[in-house]
Amino acid sequence: MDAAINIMKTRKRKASAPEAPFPELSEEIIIKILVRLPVKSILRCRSVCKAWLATISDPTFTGAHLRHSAARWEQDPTFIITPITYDRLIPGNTQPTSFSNHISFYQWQQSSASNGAAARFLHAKDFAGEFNRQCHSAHCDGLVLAPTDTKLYLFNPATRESITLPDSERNNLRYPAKACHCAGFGLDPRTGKYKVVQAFYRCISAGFLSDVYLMGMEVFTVGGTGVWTEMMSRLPYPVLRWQTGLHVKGFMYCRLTLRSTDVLHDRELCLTACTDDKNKTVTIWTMPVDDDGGQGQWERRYSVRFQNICHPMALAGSRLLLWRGSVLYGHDLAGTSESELTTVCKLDRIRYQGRRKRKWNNLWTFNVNPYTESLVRLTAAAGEPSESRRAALLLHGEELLRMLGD
Amino acid sequence: MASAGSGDEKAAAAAMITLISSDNEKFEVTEATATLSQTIRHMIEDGCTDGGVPLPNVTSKILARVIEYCKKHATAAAGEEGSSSSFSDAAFLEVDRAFLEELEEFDDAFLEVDRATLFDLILAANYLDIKGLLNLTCQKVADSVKGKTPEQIREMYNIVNDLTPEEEAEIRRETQWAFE
Repeated sequence: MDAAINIMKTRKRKASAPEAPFPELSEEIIIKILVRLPVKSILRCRSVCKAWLATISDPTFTGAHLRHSAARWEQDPTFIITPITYDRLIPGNTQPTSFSNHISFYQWQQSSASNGAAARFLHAKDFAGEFNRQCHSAHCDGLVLAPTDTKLYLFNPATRESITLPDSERNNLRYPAKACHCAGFGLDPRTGKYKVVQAFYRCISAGFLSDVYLMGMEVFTVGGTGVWTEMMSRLPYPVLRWQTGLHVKGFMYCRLTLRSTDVLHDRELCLTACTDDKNKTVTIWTMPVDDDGGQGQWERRYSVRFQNICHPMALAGSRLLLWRGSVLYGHDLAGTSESELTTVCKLDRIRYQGRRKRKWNNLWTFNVNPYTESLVRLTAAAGEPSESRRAALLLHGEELLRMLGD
Repeated sequence: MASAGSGDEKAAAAAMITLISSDNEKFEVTEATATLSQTIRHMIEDGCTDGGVPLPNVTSKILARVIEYCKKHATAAAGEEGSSSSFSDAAFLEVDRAFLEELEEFDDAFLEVDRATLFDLILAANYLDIKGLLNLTCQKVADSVKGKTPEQIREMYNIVNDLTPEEEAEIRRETQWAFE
């Protein structure tokens, strides 16, 4: 009854006054309005009318929304958190024997956290028995690569899309002796496609002092042919066997040794090391990467008083955000050159939406990445043939090696 | 006006521009206020504001509101420039913060309008290319859509559902969780 009256009222008003109903706003303005909505609302808006469905389904809308999301990040840094829990830990062992196969994603914002709001639940999926352990995840434009010891998964936690990457013939992750767990993920700016790249051992032969590895690389293109394609570029050195590659502007960087390297703001590589054990000082070097992959010099950039190596994650205003274990730290850049770190967030103490208890049972660690919510599709129909043979993701292992040798 | 090219800065700062609404009402505003609109800024740069700027897409009612917004924000912009050049101490930052809060309050009150006016403001801000006002008004509409069901959105904004029941069911099926 009430609804009927409402409709009548609206109609009456519409007839008497020349009101501008929503459809009369141009598509350009509709886009400006809709990009401001969270992904969940946008997905709902698809079923409002045909015009909205067409607008939202267009790739240019996905791009506009992503740009808006990224701009908002600058004002309100957002992170995606995956708690990693174990199933079984034999007393006396340092490593659990098996981890949970439940991969879940939570979104955490600094601004909402100060109001005591919980980390927002985004998505969770159970891969019952498919893998034993998760590795570090990688993020690009709202998509998350979750590598495990047996499978690689790609998620868009905001749209709850996910795919399991096909097993590779060249890099069979089920044969631990022959598998290389070095994968990276990012956007290839030259083709506009998202790609997963992994290293594999072309052959392993017994050498005089150590085994000799010949390395190869292969690529999987999202929305492409659905198979791994071997790349023309070669890895000049055997890379660290267990790692998640770093991605900057269409280039993937692999570590050759176990050093702490990270990517800051999608533009710079960071290298972190404890430089003064006595005074507990951590030094961070950075190196900018140009659009064409050209690199600047490693520059000693930040010096932080801290007893452990921590991972630089993002610059938010005049604050450098770092991560170690289950804590996010802040380093005030406006302060004195060597200031102490402040605790920004204890990931094991905050509330998680949908969970009654703050405490996680069998918590092992957290995966954390800066996060930009997006509508980027993982399962878009294959359009043009994959351009992966152009091998847009290159490697600059030598540069890293040079630095690490210093 | 001759003052634009005279080189006398004071005269330029006080230069007045006449805006003419679609219903022929004239509004005198300072150049600082008018140039919040990129469209008018370009007209001034091209020197074609003599005899007033006709705005055939904007009614006097809406233009008055737009000018109200621009006046407030032009003062804010001028204040910011002043702060960076002459003061930088904490006391001034405090004043700055108070001013920003006042500006936020102004924006909130400014948006207390009916839907038709809000849409007219969006169209005017888009036509006049006033970034701040366009962001503000679009955000207001986005906030009203956020968390609503498709039915509520259609009803709020008089949108006719031209999707077939099959199409609608298909969309819902694809992302059922988003509708829960």
